[in-house]
Amino acid sequence: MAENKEEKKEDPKDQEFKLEKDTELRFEVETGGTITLELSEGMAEVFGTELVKNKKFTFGSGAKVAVFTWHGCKVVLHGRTEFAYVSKDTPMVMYVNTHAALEQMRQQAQDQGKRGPRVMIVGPTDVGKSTLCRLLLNYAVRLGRRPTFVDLDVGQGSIAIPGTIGGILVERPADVEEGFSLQAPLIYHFGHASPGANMELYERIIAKCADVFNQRCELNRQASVSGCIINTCGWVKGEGYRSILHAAREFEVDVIIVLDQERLYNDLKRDLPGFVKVVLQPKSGGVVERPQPVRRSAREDRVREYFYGVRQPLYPHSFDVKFADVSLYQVGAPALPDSCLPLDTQQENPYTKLVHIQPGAQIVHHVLSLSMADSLKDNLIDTNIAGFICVTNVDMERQVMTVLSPAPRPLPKRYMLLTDIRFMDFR
Amino acid sequence: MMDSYDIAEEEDYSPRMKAAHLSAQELLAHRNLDRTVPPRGGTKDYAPDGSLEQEEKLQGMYSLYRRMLAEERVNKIGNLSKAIWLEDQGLAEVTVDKGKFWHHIGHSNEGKKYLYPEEAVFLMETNAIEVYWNKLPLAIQQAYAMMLGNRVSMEQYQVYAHLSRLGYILIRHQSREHFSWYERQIQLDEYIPLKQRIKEGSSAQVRDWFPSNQHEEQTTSTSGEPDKTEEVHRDNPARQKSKEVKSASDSPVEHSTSNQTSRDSLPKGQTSRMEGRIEQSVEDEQMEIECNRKDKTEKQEEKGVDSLVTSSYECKWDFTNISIPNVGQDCDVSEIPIPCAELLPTGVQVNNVLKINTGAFSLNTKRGRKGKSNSEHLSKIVPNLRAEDDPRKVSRNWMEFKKLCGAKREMDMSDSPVAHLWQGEVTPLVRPSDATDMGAILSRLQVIQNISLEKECCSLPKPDRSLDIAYDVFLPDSHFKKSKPGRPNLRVCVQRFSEPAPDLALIVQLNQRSSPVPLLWAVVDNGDISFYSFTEADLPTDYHM
Amino acid sequence: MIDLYLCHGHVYVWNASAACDLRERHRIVGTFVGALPRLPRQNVRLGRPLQLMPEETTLLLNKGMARLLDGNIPPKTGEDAAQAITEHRQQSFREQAEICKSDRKRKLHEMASVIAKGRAAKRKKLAQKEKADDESSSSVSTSDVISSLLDQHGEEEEPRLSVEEMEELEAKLEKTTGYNEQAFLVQIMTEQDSEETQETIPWNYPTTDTEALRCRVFQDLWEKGYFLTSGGKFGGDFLVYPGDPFRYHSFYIAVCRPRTENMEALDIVRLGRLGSNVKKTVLLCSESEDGEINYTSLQWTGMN
Repeated sequence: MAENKEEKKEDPKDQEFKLEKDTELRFEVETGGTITLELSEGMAEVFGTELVKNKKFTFGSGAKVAVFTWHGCKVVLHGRTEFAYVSKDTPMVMYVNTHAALEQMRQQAQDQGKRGPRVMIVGPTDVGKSTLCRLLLNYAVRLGRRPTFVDLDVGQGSIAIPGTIGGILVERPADVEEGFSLQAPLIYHFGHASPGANMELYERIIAKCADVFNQRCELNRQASVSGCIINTCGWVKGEGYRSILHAAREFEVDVIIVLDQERLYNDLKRDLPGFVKVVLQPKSGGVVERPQPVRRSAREDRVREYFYGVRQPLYPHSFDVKFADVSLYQVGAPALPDSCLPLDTQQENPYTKLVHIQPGAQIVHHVLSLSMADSLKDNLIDTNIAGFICVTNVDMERQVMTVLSPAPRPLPKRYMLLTDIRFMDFR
Repeated sequence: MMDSYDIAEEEDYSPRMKAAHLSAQELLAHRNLDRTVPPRGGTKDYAPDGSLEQEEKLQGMYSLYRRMLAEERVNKIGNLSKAIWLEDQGLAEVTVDKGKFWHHIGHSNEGKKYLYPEEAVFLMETNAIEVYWNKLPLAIQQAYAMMLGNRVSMEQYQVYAHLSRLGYILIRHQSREHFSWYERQIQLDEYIPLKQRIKEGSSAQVRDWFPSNQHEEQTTSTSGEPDKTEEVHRDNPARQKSKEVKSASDSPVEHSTSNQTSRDSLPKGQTSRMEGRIEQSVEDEQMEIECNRKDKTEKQEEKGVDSLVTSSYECKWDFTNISIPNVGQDCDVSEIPIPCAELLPTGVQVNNVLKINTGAFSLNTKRGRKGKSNSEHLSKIVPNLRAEDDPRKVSRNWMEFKKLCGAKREMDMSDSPVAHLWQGEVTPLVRPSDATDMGAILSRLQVIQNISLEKECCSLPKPDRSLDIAYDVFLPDSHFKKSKPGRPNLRVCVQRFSEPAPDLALIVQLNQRSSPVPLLWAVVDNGDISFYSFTEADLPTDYHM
Repeated sequence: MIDLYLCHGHVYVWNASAACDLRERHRIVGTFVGALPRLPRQNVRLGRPLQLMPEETTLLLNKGMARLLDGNIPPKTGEDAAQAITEHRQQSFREQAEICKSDRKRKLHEMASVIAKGRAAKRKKLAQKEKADDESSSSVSTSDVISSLLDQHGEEEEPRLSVEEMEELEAKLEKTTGYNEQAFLVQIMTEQDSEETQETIPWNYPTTDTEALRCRVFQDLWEKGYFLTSGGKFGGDFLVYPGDPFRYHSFYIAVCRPRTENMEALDIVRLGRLGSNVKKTVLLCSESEDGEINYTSLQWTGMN
């Protein structure tokens, strides 16, 4: 079967698509393959970034792309696709109206010398939250705004790597292939791919992130007026729901866009103060649900991209680090079992406790966050992250570990936080 | 039990014993010395029973010892370093350096190599160096007399030699006055009061995120933006229109704030305060309900201040004019209009009004099968309240909302049946709100605080004698560098057995100076050395109390 | 008479035989504090000097078994002394060279037959190689085969070195054994040369009542035939052994207390606990008015 399929696609021909106004070409790159996209006629955009005519854009394995046109266009695809089709049913008009409303708010904020709109996008997994974020950010930045993109989705970690949350000031539209330029991002360490692993820590770093964003708004008028777009993770039940309320409160959001879940919409309307505008919007028909393994491999790819780059290859460095030269910590002490506690009592917050750990075989293949902290005086939890390294080997005898690092030695700081995120460097 | 001492025996060996100068034959014989030592311990007998067997064992031991102890130190000249003892400086100057010891023993000064007395004597004892004084090679007995005692006490030397024999690398303790990297690491600078740290912390914790030219950016954006928007104003009638619509609905005061210049000058403050008052009067009715229980004027003042602060940051959005598409069932929206072109980036052009018929979008309207609603989780954040008390309904912005939520909690206290307990001067230590967990309550109840020795050291009387750490001790390591010894693995104080034990103040002082390196006290009892350490113990807190 | 040297407040015995005599004949154990020459970098067995407790010193001096000398007198200096040392060394070097040479000669003779065998084997190898070279060029003749057979037969005899060969080897040996000073052995003296004329010095111990009591107790137990060592590690004054500590465990922990001193109950509990923990009997030692030493043993008795 598989062989047949391959033979059939042995010589992929250029596929040309003619798109009418307000239609969208959706395609997915076959696993292991690449696709080149070229706009030959008209105007089109990918998630809010305009395509340059006759320029070839390359997308890697598994990428899902939607090319939308307001005016009609012709595009050519070269390479193997899992699927490629044109759809007329898109919620783009709705999204663009949303943008228009936000822009109105920015204008008002600018006129009144106040704070611009803070928008949070919520919804279950795989409804296109990050795509909508990208779209709204791109439209804002194309109008000369400088919105802040805050990503609270620790599962995808689009600003750094999975296991982190962060913020970034968007100054130019996202690159069609690589996404937003990640210069000087603000990153906080979480360490797990799901917020449920440590809700206390999750809420604490969200609060810290919000605090820093507020400080920045005080200093930077344009950033303040432009507001922010907050992406959240797809966990909308139970504690996940609670963390949405918490984030809304910490960031003092003005608008919440609920994608595709009426119940969540109703809950939020009821539980959030009346001055917060909660709206429900549909997801795009092009959004595909990703099964768990795909999500996991997307996470791995994200880490790989961090070290090896997306389009332009990066060349990470590998070197030995002496145990004596670093201090490794983990956030969260192992909780005591409930049986050890008297009835109806809670433990004294072990979740945000810093635990010093000795490097050992257990950290091999784990990604470590390098804290900006100069000393333990700066609380490591509340200090942002300079970058990441991955432990590729631990030599207990020599008391050294070998690390993969985006920058050459030495490591800039000595304090590091252990993450659950693993990365096997197979190159 | 034993033969009593018999004086007559003494005469047998009264001739003076001479120092053993080895003949050439004996020197050569020393090359083939047995290099093993009898192990310590082994089975001992309970008590002497006069048996031949016991006597033989004992005599065997004695003859072994006689042989072993009589052995002398013999080495090839080519393997021996040489040094000259400089009496006035109390140092030995190395003139011939042959051994490998220079890696971790000795120091240089002006191109000359020196050894401290303990280093020189130890090297002599380990058969590595000859020390000359007045052109005479010194015997170890002479070295003890001349080099030790005054500058380095016998006890100190014995500790040095004991640890050196085991392979540790010892250097004299280096005390440093300034805060080095590792002193910061050991948190000597923790004594800055907490408040100060928090203040510094908020800005210090975020590095590299604010671009360094943030001030520039700020000024350009404030000065640059108004011009730009004015241009747009003139050029774009559509935008003007939308603006008018907006201002019509807003209060006249707010309208005046749209003047850009007001931001930098006094009118801004005035206008925002006025704005606050107007809002207040509009919602007077709600306010009264809100403030029923509290002193009315006080509350109003508080609120006035609140809105003054908040209104300068937060906009009050009018979502009747700003329409964000919403397809929720409670919103009766049938179509999405074409937005103003001037709100859109170039290239984005909406062609058609979007009709919403329910089938168009795949909306997930499923209700959860289980009846458990998310509101249950919410109760932890916002208590369920009557509608008129609900901060969600009453507040108009986040600042107010947060304040009200906080106020709610305090009011709950005054509502409680034990509220009277807080009316007098003496109030309970624990508030109901503290009852989050046992640890919190216990910490509130703990009237007598434990002092941390490290931190409360200053409150102790001055130590009654001064004693310093003698040596920094490093584990055997071929990578050890004298010039860059790094942090020692141990530090050692030397204490004579007959001396009084160090007092608490001294222990604390020295522990602090040594922290985080463990400090050991070597107690020397007539050549026997035992090591002790003092550590501050944290008593565990018992949750079962 | 055993020489004790007082050096910076401590008393040392430097002579090996004296140190052994102290133990074997006088039951004075002391503590070795120096590195052992044969294996200096270990703490299992130590070497000279032997350090004596003040009580041991007091006993030895009281009994007239030893004399106390000043250990701090600097060695005699001057050109003479230096000259003497140098000469002594040079003499030693010459002797060493001589001994080495005769050693080697002896060895050479012992090895003569081995050398001869080696040479014969070498010769044969060479011959065979030449033969092989010849064979490759010309055909094998019967005479060659016969001669090779004869050769093998001749080898059955023990090869010996000729007198000339022997002389040649000896001459070679003479040449290679140079006078290399770096290879000579020297001794780092442990004990200094003693002075016959050295005056004894007074021993000012004990000075306090506590010290006096300790000395009295030490002497009394010693006179009873016990071995004693310092008891610091066990929290008492002395450890008391029934025989040489090499071979026997200690029986008692001696704790010296003045007769008139009140003891707190807590002290008694402490000492009782201590004794039972280390499986030794605690001896409370005090001196009666008529100078007798009284011993009280303390034992923790469990009674159910």
